[in-house]
Amino acid sequence: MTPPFHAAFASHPLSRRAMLGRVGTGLGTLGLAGLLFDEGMLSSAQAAAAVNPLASREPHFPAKVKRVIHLFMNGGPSQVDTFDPKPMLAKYNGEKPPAADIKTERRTGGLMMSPFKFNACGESGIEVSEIFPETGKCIDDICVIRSMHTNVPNHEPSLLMMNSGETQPTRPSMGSWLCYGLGSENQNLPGFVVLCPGKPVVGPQLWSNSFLPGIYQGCHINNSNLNPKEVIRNINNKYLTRDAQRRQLDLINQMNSLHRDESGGDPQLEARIQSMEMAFRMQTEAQEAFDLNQESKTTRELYGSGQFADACLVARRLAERGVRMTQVFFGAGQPWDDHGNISAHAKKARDCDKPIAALIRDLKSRGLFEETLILWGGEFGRTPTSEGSDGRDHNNHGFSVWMAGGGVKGGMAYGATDEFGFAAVENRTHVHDLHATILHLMGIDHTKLTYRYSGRDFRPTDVHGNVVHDILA
Amino acid sequence: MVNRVWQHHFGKGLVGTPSNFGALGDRPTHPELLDWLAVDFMEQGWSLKTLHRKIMLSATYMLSSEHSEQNSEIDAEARLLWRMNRRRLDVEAWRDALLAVSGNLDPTLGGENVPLTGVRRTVYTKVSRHDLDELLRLFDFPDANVTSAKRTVTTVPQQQLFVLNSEFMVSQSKALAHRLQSSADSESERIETAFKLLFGRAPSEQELQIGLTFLSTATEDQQEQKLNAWEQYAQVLLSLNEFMYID
Repeated sequence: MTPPFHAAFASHPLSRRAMLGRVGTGLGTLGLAGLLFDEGMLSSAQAAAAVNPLASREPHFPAKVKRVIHLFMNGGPSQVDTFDPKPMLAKYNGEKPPAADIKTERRTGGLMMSPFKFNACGESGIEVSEIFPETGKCIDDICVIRSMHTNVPNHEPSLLMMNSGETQPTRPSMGSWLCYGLGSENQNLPGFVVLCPGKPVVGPQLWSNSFLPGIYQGCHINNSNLNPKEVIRNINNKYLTRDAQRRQLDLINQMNSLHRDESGGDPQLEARIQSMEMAFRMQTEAQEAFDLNQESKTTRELYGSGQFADACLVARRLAERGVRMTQVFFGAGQPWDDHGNISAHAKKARDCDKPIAALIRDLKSRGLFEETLILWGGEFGRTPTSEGSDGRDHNNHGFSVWMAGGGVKGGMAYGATDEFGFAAVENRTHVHDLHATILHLMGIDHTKLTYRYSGRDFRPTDVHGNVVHDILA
Repeated sequence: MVNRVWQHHFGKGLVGTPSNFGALGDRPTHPELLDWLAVDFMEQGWSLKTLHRKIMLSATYMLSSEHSEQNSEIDAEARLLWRMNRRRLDVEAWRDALLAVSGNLDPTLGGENVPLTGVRRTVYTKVSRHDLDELLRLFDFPDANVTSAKRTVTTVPQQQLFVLNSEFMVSQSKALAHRLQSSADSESERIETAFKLLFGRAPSEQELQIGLTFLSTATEDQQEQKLNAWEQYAQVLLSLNEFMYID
C-alpha cells in the first residue's frame, strides 16, 4: 500500500515525473495530496506547490472566509461582566442557591452581581456590558456565542485546548493546521503571525507546529517593539547595501544553477534557488507590512493608541496582505485573570474596545470584512460566584466568545448559560465545535484535514467537533 | 534498528515509514535485504559499528546521485536505489561544517551541554523543549516534545534569511575570508583553496572566472559596505546548495 502523500512531501520534493507516477494511488488527505489528486491536476504549477509548502491552495469547498484574526483575551474574561447579562445575579447577590454550587478550581463564595450595567445595542438589541460601548455599536455584525464550554478550569490545559484542540501538549496549533491545509496567499510573509508583547502563559507551545513541518509554526512577534527592521528575525541585512546584497544573490544563483544543471535538475536544489529569491523580496515586503507610519492620521486615530490598538492595526495590514492567520494576544502572562477585583475588567476593556470596533469598521471600509473571520474570547470564563470579596475564579462550564466577519450571522446571540451564567445549558458549544465551525467557514471539512503521525491520522478536532450551522449566514 | 540506520545513510529507509511496519505502513522495497541485514545484525552481536561498516562498504552506498534519463523513466524516485539520493545535511552537520571551514569550531569532546551561541559541535547544544532555538527550528530540528522518526526537510525563505543576514553567517564568513586571504597571495589560488576546503574539488574555469569578476566588482564599492569583497564572497560560498546538500 502506497504511503500517504505527506510522507513523501516530508522527505524530498518530488519531481514532476515522480508525482505523475503516483496518480493512481488512493490519496485521501487534504493538504497537498488531496488537492492534487481530487482536482486531477498535475500541471507544473501543482508540482511546484509540492516544492513550496506555503503555496496557496483551494479548500475542500468554496468559502468566503480566507483568513482569521484571533483576538485572544488570555487569562479568561468574565462572561457575566462582558457579553452575558444575568439579572438574577443582582436578585440573589451574596446567596449560594444549589444551582450556583458548581465545582470549580477554587472555593468560591456566594453569587456576585456585575459591577457593570448592560445595555441593549444595535438594531438587534443584544445586550452588551457598558465597558464595551464601541464593540456594542458593532453588535449587528457580531455573533455572540454564550454557551461555550471547555474541559478544565485551569489556564495551561485550556490555553492549549483553545489553541490546538487538546488539553495536553503537544498538538499543532490552529494556525499551523490552517497553513498546512490552505497555505498562505502571500509568499513574502509568514502564513501565521502571533502578536504578543512578551510571552503568554504556556508560551510558544500555543503556536507550535508540533509534528507538522516547521514552516507552519506561528511567527511570534514581540509587538512591544514594532520597529519594522527588527520585528522578524534576520529580516534586515546590517552589513550590505541592497545593491551589494543583490550582487551576492546573483552570484549565488549563478553557481547554484550550474550545480543544479550538473545534477540533472534535482527539484530540491531548484526549490532552494527559488527560496533565496523569495527571501530577498521578503526583506522589503515584511518590513513594509509592519510599518505603521504608512497609515494615515485618521486611521491611527480610529484605532487609538496603545499596544493593543497598534496590534489590531498590524492585524488589518497583515489581513490585507494575505496572511492566513493572525493571533493577537491581549497581553503577556494572563491579563484577564481577575481573581480579585473584577472591576479591573473595565480598564482592560477600555484598552481593547476602541481598537476592536476600529478593526471591524476598517476591514469593512476596505472590502475585507466578508473574507475575514474575527474571533474574540479567552480560554475559559469566570464564575458568577465570588472569589474573595470581589473577584471571580476560573469557569470552564460556561463562557462567551464572539465571531464577526464573512459567513457568520451578525446581530445574533447563540446559546445560553443557566440563569446565573455558570454553566452552558442551551446549544452547548465545545471548543472543538468552535474549531470545526471555523474550519467550515474557511471551506474545510474538519474531519478531512488530516496528517499521518505516529501510526494514525491526526486532525485539529481529533475525534470530536460538530459544525454549528445555526450561526452560519 | 537496521531500517533506521539505512535511513540515516540513504535518506530513506528500506521501509519508508520507519515507525510503522504494520498494515498501514510502507512495504519494504527490498524485503530480503532487510531481513538479511536484520539477522546479520543480531548475529554480529548487535554491533552498530559493524552495521555501519557493512552498509558503507557496499556498492550501493558508493553509487553517485548522478541522474539518468533512462533509469528515471522506470523508477523516477530511485526506490530501487539505482542511484544515491541527494540529501540535505541535517542542521547539526551543516552548522558544524560552517564552523569547521571557517576555522571557528572548538573540537573539544564531551562535557556539559552548552548554548548554541558557542562554537562547539551542535550535538552538545542545550535543547529547550519550551522554546526551541531558532536556528534549530528553522532547519527542521524536531519539536523536542514529540518523537520524530524522520525529520521533515522543508525549504523556506526564513532559512535563506538566516543564511543571508544572520550574525552567525557573517561571523563564519569573516573568519573564512581571513583564512582564505592568509592561505595564498593570488586571488585565483585563494579561490582554489576555498573550493578544496568547502567542496573537495577544484573550481571549474567558469566558476573561477565568475568568482574573480565578483571580487573585482565588490572591491570597487567595499568602502560603502561593512563587509569587504572577500568576506562577501566567502558568504556566497557558504550559502551555496553544494555546501548544504550531499551529492
